[in-house]
Amino acid sequence: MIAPETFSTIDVAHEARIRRWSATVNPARSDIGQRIAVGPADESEPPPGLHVAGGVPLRVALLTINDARVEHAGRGALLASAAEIIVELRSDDGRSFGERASALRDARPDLAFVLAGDHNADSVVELCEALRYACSDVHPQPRVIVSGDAKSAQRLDRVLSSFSREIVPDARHEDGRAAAVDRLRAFRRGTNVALVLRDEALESLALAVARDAGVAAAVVDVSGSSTSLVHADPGGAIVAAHLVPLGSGRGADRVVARAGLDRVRRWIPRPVDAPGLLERVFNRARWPDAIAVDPLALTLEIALAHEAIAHALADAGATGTLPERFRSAPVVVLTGRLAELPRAAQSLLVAANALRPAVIATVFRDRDDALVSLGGIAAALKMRYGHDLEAIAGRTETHRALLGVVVPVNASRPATVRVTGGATFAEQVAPGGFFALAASGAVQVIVSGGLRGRGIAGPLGVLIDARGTPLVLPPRDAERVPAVARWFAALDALADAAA
Amino acid sequence: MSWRHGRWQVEHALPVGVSERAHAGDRVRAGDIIGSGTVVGSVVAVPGARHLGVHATDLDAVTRIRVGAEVDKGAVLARSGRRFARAAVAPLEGRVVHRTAEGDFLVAPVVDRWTVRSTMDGEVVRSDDAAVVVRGTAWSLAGIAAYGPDAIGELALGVDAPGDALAPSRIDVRLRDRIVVGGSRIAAEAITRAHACGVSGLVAGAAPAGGLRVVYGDDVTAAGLPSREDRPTLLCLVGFGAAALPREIFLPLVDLAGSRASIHTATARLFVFTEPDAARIPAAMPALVLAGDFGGVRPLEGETELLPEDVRFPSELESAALMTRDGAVPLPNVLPFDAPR
Repeated sequence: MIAPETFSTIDVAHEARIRRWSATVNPARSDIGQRIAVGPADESEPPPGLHVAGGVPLRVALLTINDARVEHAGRGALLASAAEIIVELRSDDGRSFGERASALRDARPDLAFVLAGDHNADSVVELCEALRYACSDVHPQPRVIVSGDAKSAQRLDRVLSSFSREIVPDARHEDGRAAAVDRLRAFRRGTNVALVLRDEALESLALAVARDAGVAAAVVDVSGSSTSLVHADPGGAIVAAHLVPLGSGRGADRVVARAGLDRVRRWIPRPVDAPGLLERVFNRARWPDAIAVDPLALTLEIALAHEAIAHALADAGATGTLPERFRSAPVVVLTGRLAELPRAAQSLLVAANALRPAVIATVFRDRDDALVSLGGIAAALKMRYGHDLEAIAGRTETHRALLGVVVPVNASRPATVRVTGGATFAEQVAPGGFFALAASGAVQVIVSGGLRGRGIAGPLGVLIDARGTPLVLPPRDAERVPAVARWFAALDALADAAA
Repeated sequence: MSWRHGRWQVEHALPVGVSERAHAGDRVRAGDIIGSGTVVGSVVAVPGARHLGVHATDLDAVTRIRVGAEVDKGAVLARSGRRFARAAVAPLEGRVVHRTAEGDFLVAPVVDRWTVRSTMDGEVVRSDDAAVVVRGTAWSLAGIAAYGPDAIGELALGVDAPGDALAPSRIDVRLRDRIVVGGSRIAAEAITRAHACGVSGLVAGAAPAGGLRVVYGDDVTAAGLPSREDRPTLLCLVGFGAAALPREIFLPLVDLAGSRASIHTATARLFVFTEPDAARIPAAMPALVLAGDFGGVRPLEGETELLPEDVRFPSELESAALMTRDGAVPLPNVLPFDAPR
């Protein structure tokens, strides 16, 4: 056991800089104090306190049998542990032995995650032979994790004997998934015992917010090279998707490579030529912690955040976690670069556009990484003491910044929206409507059709969003740009858009 | 990292299917073949240990062909027994690619061959089927991203000033097998023309990202795209779009023009093989500034002053700032030339 208050500071790492808070880390009562400094990360100086960072990037080769349930479970474990799949081989992918081996050699994975299932490891033996052929001589050799039952693991043992390997239970079962996530995170943590992985901090934060609020909470985090969605309920159940390396900074070019430039460009509320935009994306990707001086560069970061969240939702969906899970949280907390946009309205707009809450949701955002720091403290205490949240109970309410309430109206016909409490509003809202009501304090909302709920209106009031889910943008620039600009203007999200 | 003359260790990754490679201790020059091998087609599994009645771990004792060898159809791969012999026979002309853990042989036809050339003058210090590492002495300059295969050739200037863009009209077949230095920008037209003229590689401050997509495909990213295919080789030193080279970087390139050089694309690094006193390196390297709209990168020139308070920029973001002759610049947007990016 560490002595109480061993850690007096907590650093939250950004791309090349850190933000440091003073902290009291004590199993009985923990909190953050003052923001001490923002500055370049000093690689030579060991962190004096807790350190929240992304850890070592983990590039994974996924070798899987032809079983959709096994594959979903394995992908889910990788997504939950913020590992990046750089090459994927399936037993039925039709590729030759040489093609598989070449793909593995060229990818140079840090780790091979073998999904052997529980009944037919024969079909994955050929994949493991390709791994053995391609990577036995590579320095450093990839480590191997085999997920499957004992019989399957035994079947693969001789094939993989030249690798450092571990066996975890079948990822379809909760214990197998948890074991895989633990091992993968351990690889990312390396030997740095004071390191709290950012994804762990976000999960602890979501749980703390849910317990403080007494309802399910979602944390949406977009950093330079990762995008996270975490859903937690007060009972302790957590569902998480941590998508690496997509983000609005270093991962900007990866967002464009994956989504396509036009899907990023569509969120920018002005006409932009594609080649020029691509140059901005590439330069941003190679300039850590760059500050957007020009409003156009800022809208680019906002657009990247939109697409990164959309892909995190899509990836979660591909593992069997329905996006509605994240959309159904009555409390939404925004962190990372998403919370550092200069206007609160910009953060709220991204949440409304990209997350598309399905319930009446109160949206908060982080202040200078205070919430991430709290989550980091909770995660560190959990690692050391096993219990995590008592020490920071109630602290998330102090450090979060309230934005407003999002009211989704999904109807093909005009719907009646009644808002009482901090504002009075009772009118029909036509499909496509998107506007903010001035309000403050607790509000009750009833939407014809059955949706009702409560929220806390902040400086941005109550956002009525009748654009429908999924949000469809006009394909032509001439229609899309004015529509997106209207949405920005509705929230006064950009100075030039408002003008 | 800016210009430096010193000892460098360069790892040359080898594709699968190595037939021959240089061995540790061998002396090589940039351009020498240090590894060669084959690309194989669909493999055919030839039953081995079980068919021969031996345990997989004892297969070596009865194997007659080493893994990796090329064989004719009908060649005996392994043979056991005396009076009632059993043999594993190659079903086709090709290569014994691999021996499985179960003791079976995988044989495949050869469909192509590849070679890997050294990008360094020096000594092989490590060699295995995955990589050959060469250690040697050279001038070196690191870029931020490189695209295409490794390149070797004589360094040649394609521009007269560091702020000039490399014009396609300056490229012709006389630059064949040269590494051509552009200035602030090399457009897609210049890249493709250079490749068509047999230019070995291109070095410039920047290349337009859209042009990179045209040449290398939509999967291209800011991290570079090392490859082995027959494609143009390009090294971006500073950024994307347009980025004038600092004089402190460009002038040594002028000094070193005419020397043998290479581009190692996996590490995005230019090597020049000549004497340590062949170039004059300024004592201080300039910083680089990212444009406020992220559209380009330029050297920081003139007097600067750190402003005492945070500045609010047109984007409404606030940051510590440096006052330059072009106005206030956010401090994070100013980096030393050799800062890790």
